[in-house]
Amino acid sequence: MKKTVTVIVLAAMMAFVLTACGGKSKDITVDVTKLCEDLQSTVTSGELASVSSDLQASTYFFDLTKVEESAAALSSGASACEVAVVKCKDSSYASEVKGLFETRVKNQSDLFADYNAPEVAKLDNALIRTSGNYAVLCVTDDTKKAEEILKEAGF
Amino acid sequence: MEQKKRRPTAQERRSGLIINVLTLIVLVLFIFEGKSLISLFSNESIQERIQEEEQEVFASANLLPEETESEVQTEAVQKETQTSVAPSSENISDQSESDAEPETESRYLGLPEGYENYMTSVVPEQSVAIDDSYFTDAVFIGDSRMEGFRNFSGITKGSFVTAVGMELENIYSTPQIPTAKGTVLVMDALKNLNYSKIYMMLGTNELGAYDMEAVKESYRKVLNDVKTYSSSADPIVYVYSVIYVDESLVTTGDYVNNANVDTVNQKILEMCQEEGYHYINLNEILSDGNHSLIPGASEDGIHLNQEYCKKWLDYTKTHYLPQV
Repeated sequence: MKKTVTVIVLAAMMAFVLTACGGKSKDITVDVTKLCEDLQSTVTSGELASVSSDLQASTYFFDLTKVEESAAALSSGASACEVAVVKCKDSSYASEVKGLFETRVKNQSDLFADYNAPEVAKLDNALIRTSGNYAVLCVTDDTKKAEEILKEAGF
Repeated sequence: MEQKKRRPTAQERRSGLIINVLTLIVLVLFIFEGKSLISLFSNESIQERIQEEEQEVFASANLLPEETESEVQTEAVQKETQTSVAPSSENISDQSESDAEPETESRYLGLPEGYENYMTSVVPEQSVAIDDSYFTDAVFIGDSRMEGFRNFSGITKGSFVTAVGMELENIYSTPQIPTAKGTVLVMDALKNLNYSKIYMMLGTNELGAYDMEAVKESYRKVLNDVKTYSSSADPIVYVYSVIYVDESLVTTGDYVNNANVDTVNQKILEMCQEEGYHYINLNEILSDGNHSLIPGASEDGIHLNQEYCKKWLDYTKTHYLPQV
């Protein structure tokens, strides 16, 4: 009897832990532009400018037909810092966008390695997050603060 | 013995009254017209003050007397002349020439020495600005500065083949143009584009080159290859000048200096003349008049901030070849 109770309690605990792990798939609602601006505020090493969705698409290679809303801010070329927040039409495309962000970070790392090596450290610490239909990329000077902002937003 | 008080006479009473009235007037004047009283003791003459007040009144009523208006105009012209003459002194050795044609001289601002022989290649300003649709069949190729232009200028048309660290030397060897699947070589990226106008900016990453003649030859070869991938048999080739740097902010190496910018620009200008390309002299608007980037135009001394990238775009829109 005691053994049975132990097994049940363990199973319940496992279920609880697994449910908690799956928390990231929860539905969240994010103000895309505001989150982009908030993350942009963590960049201290130079100016970032908001860019059009066409420019975002040619930078990250999104399929705009699968994107509901997006905002991004890019640099003057001086630093590797950049921010992109994308709301996709479904969560599976958000996962694909995450892959595109990973490719972008790798490409940038390769280029900056020869040109401006200190920027590579920022790219190594790039934050790439997904939650529900959203995907976020943030390359910044203050990763800790950016992480806090993302956590607060539900990522 | 107590002295008996004498009653004032009628005349004394009148005098006393006058004194009291006068004192009252002086007090009123002092309190309410203090400004006027003070001005009496100031260096400014009363006549000048009256004139000033007159002008204020006329100006507010838009009735400035003719003489005063012409004086104001003369002052404005003097100021204009001072501004346009001052920067042109950067490259103009003959001061009397610059005094004679101050407006034309600004075109030479930022050009390297010996520019007189190459002026046919320098794109002149057009009176009407083109809109972004002109760039629909254009490709912009360049390094991080051009990438900054793409991100910051607000340009809405055109293809961009840009990469941080792009050099004439690595253009054939380093895959650096991003695609969804990774990076490819510049020439491979161009194969997939349709363009009949080429805007090119390279040279900043070559500032440390020992042999600028070799840089010129590399540039010539690269542009020749870029032309071969054009959808037009005779594409228009615009070559941007290398923009000056703010040496006080540059941390990437001593070789990134304005003497080298002038040297490489001279070679680019020569190449443009020899090949029939069109040199866009961005330093006309980005030079501080002393062979340097305008202070405040860049945070790191090299890459332009948003305000100046927009000026770059505006300049491009007024410097083009009118289509016949």
